[in-house]
Amino acid sequence: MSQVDSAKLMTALLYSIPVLVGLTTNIVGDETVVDIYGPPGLPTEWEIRPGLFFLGTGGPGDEYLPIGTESFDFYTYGRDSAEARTVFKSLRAAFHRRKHERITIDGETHIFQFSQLVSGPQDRTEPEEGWNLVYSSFLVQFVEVTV
Amino acid sequence: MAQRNFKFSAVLQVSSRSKAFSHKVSTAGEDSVRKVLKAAEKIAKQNVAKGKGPSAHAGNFAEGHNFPYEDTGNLGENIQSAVWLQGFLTQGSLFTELDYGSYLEVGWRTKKGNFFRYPWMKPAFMEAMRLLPKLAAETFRTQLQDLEEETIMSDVSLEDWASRMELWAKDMQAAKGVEKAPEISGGGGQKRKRPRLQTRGSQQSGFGRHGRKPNPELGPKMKGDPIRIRRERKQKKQLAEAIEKVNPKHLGKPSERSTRHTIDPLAAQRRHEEAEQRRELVRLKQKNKQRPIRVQAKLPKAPKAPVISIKPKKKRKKKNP
Repeated sequence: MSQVDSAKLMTALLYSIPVLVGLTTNIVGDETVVDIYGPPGLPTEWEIRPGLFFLGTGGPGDEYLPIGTESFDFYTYGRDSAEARTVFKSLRAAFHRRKHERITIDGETHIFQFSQLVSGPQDRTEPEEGWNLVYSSFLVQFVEVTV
Repeated sequence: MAQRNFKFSAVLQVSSRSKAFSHKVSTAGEDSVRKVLKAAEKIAKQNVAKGKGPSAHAGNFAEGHNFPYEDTGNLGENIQSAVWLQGFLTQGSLFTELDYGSYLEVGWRTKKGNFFRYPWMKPAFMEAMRLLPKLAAETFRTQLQDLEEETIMSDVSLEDWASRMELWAKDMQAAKGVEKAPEISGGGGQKRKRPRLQTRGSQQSGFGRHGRKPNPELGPKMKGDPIRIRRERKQKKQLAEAIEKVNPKHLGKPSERSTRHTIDPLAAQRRHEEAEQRRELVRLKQKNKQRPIRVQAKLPKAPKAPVISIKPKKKRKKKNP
């Protein structure tokens, strides 16, 4: 039994969505890259293509039960707004109102309680780069310790 | 372009048959949302006050940093809030018309590959929502206390009740524009009428005031001699008036009418008068007891039956031979 790293759990969850992985898989030079990133964000030399990254923004814990409620901000990118929206849609289909799952990562079982979309989607462009992105925020509830 | 970044809404589902209660609860909910929103607005303005936001002059970044969205206090002045009703939902929104306010909140990627963000609205909301239980409890308590004062008949005289109901009706009309005031005719010497309250039967059946169904719990309608009924009503009215004069409940709230333990020069005189009134009430009650209502039924006179008396025969004494 150990404390759950929410960023690690979220990354594992994102990589377990086949549609999302298929959309964000890109060929860069000779390499095949899956553009799903956690904190601190996109790589420095990253160029615009279908991809996403997320940042944790925290949330309250429960006083009596070992259940954490954290919100995650998602930034989904695309070459145009429609592509960014497509990536977001696959994300929403996977996470909006998802509940009660057991996820095993590296031999440790995590209990995923519930997740839902709480803010967004907001279409916007990066003010300096001019890239299209869709901003959204999801609330995720999980048991704080592995079983 | 107005950027409405974060909205929060309070859902109020009131399951009540009383219009006054539901009105008070919805008002309290609206007030609570407005108070929380004002608190969030205040905190958000503090977050982006001049000298506190992300800027070189505030010491958050090194001098010469290319930072096009540094706050100079304009954002704090441009934060606005709005509350609106959407059906049974009371919604509140905190927003700004400045685009860079949303960039600061959500974050952006620079050309160098760095990602910056300065969330100022979401933490303000999180902090304000902590105040929600306290603010809501205060607001609901105030509203429901008003309601309690309005609905407790035992502590309020009829005139007072009528005036309160009129005020309440005016409030309702001002708030909704559709509610109708209950008909109350009051005043000195005129016939007074209690406000009609909905009975259980009428609410269940969905009938209004004029089309209510007879309530089986109340029993059948009174039938009988109209003169007797009128006399009973008159006596009841006299009794009710006497009770109204004497009953100390009508003098005010319990806290206001407990004058016996206070030093009051007129208290003795008042007590004497009250005792006199009570005695009068007792006399009136006894009088009513002594004179029960009698119904003289006019029955046809039965014909007189012939008086038949049967006497046993006296035994004659045998004479001695």
